[in-house]
Amino acid sequence: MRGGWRWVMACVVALTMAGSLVLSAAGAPSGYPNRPITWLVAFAPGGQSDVEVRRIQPHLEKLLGVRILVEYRTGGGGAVGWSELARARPDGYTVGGLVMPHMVIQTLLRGAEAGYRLDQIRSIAWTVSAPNALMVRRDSPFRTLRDFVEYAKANPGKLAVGGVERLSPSDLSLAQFMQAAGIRLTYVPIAGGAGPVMTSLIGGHVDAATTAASHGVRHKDQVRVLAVSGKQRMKALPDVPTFAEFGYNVTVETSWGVGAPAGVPAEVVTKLSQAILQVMRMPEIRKAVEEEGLTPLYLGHAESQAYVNRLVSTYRELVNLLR
Amino acid sequence: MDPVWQGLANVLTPHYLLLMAVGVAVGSVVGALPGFTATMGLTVLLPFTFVMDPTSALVLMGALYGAAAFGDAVPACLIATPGTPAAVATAMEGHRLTRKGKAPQALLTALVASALGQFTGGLSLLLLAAPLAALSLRFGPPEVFWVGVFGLTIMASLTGKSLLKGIAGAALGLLLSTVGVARTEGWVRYAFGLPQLQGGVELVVALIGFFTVPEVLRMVEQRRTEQYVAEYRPQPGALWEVLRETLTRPLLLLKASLVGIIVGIVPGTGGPIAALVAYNEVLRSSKNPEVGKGSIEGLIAPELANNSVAPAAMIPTLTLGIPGSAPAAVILASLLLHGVKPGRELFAGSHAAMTYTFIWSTFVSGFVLFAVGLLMVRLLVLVIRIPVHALAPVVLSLAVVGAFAVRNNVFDVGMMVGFGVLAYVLRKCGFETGPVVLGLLLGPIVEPALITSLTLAQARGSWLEVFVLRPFSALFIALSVWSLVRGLRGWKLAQQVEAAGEA
Repeated sequence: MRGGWRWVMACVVALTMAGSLVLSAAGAPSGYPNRPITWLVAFAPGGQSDVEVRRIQPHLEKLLGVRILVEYRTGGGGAVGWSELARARPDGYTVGGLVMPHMVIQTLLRGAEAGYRLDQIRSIAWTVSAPNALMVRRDSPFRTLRDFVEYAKANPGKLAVGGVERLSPSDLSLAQFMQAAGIRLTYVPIAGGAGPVMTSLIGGHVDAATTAASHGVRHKDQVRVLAVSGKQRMKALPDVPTFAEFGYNVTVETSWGVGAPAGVPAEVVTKLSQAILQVMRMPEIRKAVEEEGLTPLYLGHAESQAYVNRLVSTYRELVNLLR
Repeated sequence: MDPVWQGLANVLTPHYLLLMAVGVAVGSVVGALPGFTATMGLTVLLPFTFVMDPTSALVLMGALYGAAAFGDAVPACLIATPGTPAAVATAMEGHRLTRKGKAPQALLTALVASALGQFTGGLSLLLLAAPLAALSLRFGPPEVFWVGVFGLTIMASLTGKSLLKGIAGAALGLLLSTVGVARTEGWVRYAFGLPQLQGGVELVVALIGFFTVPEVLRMVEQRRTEQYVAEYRPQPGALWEVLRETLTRPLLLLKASLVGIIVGIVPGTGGPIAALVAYNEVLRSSKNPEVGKGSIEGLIAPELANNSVAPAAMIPTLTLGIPGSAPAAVILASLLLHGVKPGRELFAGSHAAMTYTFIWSTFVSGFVLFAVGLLMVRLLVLVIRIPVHALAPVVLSLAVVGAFAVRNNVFDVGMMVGFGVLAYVLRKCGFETGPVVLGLLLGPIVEPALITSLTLAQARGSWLEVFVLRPFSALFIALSVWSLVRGLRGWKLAQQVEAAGEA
């Protein structure tokens, strides 16, 4: 028995050593990066944050010559993951997926309790965005946004619009829409991400739903998208008008990016951001992104921080709509 | 060839059989390690699935998902530690069986029931995907709320001697589940200014604390007075005994499968609830006095239900693009990244061969699981021969590693130890851990569903319409009342029998 245990220990030690040798041999010998990069995902496996890193992971690994280790730090609507990212060592070996406006809403509403400040995270690149869409079931009597608004005007508060939780892009974009159109709808917060929201819509439990337009694209057989936020129509839904076409200023959209702890060396930011954008520009990636109902962003290290700053001031005003 | 049969022919080729063997092996291990779940195993595999065709990816991931639902029974039976939250009932019934010296029977029952669950779940996916998908859409927030309430009524059968302590335990569990950012409203509750508490109490961490730590302490306490478990002797007839006990109970198999399939397609619920509901049903309906005290019959139900969840959860995933469980979400992500769009076309169009290959693989991986499992069980039962002075530290370090691994968070390790001490004290005061865990498990389902339904009632201007006047709401209200009455009566009877036995 004792001999057996010694064997097991010996095997474990040998395997660990062999494993670390393999890992260290895989990295490039000089310069950044020369060992695996940990990529923190602040939302559950299978969510859009996960999809965005998985999409580029194999290509990025090839370009950088090191492995990307995806780790999930979920909870608190992203706060848990971003707190850890903010506290990580700023050496470029810990990066994380960022999501706007979630990141800024957390800090605006919770202050210090969020566990991170926006200035603790350096944006490296913003890769894709999704407009917010207002959608109804295929068999709904509302064929256009105008039908919907007219009914809502005649029946204030009667229409139940489902969305992903409160104080979220769903919530914000609906608040924007209600204000712009001068109508009152009942926002129904649904927990657990866009999946349950779509179930509630397709199952007919709510009258309409508002969430990232990509879900409208995915379920196009069962839902009708009435309008999308943003300035221009989506490639994946060319027949769907924007809110702006009706004169409603609805700007909320969700975007996904990459960041590192503040203080990360400039050359690391440049290198990572160039590599990520290079992958995003690959024709097959671009095609997949657009087919899923997302818009490629291509914001690199230079433009990223300005993009964040702009969103911060926009959402500082918008959040007041919800208070 | 018809895609249905094309799929069957595909799945029997060495390529897919090998993939299933890999999936089953990895799945059993992640399932068996406390703190590691099927979801985590799948995310580890995810990068490898990119270099495969979507069919191979699906088959591999499906096999892993199913096998994890067996793996979690191993530590549950042997050391009373659920490998994943779905093995809570197994940790009660299975471990009691082990303590009677029937460790091989316990593991074999888990294995046979798990493989059968793969078959029944797979059958639902093969034959009833369309109607079940339509059924899953009927479960909106109000229905999910009542399903959760129905789950809470199980409490009576998990309670020990004092009903009051059971209710208090469940309330404690519900309260603990509210820590952190509120799921629908977004406000932070009971975080006491600690950012680490924003993520709330992770169920797996709490389970490790509530089950493993008191169990290790009990091992150490009893070391001097008695054997930790009855001595293990090789029992050549064990497999036949298990097969006989299992296959002669068609009604039990049917009920447990139905529970697993229904819970599998209801959004937001999953294996843990299916297992507990099925366990409750066998406790309630069985005339066998051993059920609840460590029996093969009592173990079949939760393990079978748990495994039929896995294929059933793939029904809304494949037909609607809406994942029926957390592991299914990862499988869906892999499909989407392969450019495969879920929907009816998966069953008819160019992807039909892929879909049916996957569906048949749930059956075949049941066989693979059975074969691999038989080999493993022989080795695994030896765990209980490890002396306590060696086993206790190993289990405790597994607990620490597991608590850390869930979210890679040191704070969680502290939380696990805290829960462990709490559970130990509670147990000494006559509280059972079952109700606490039930509260923790169902809180995150019941509370958000309640809030969403209340908001919905506001829009509709009628509570009655949202909460009662919907067929499935009414059904689950009726079931809850019935379960509560039966549960209380059963509990009273059990107390009387016990009192009579003591007198």
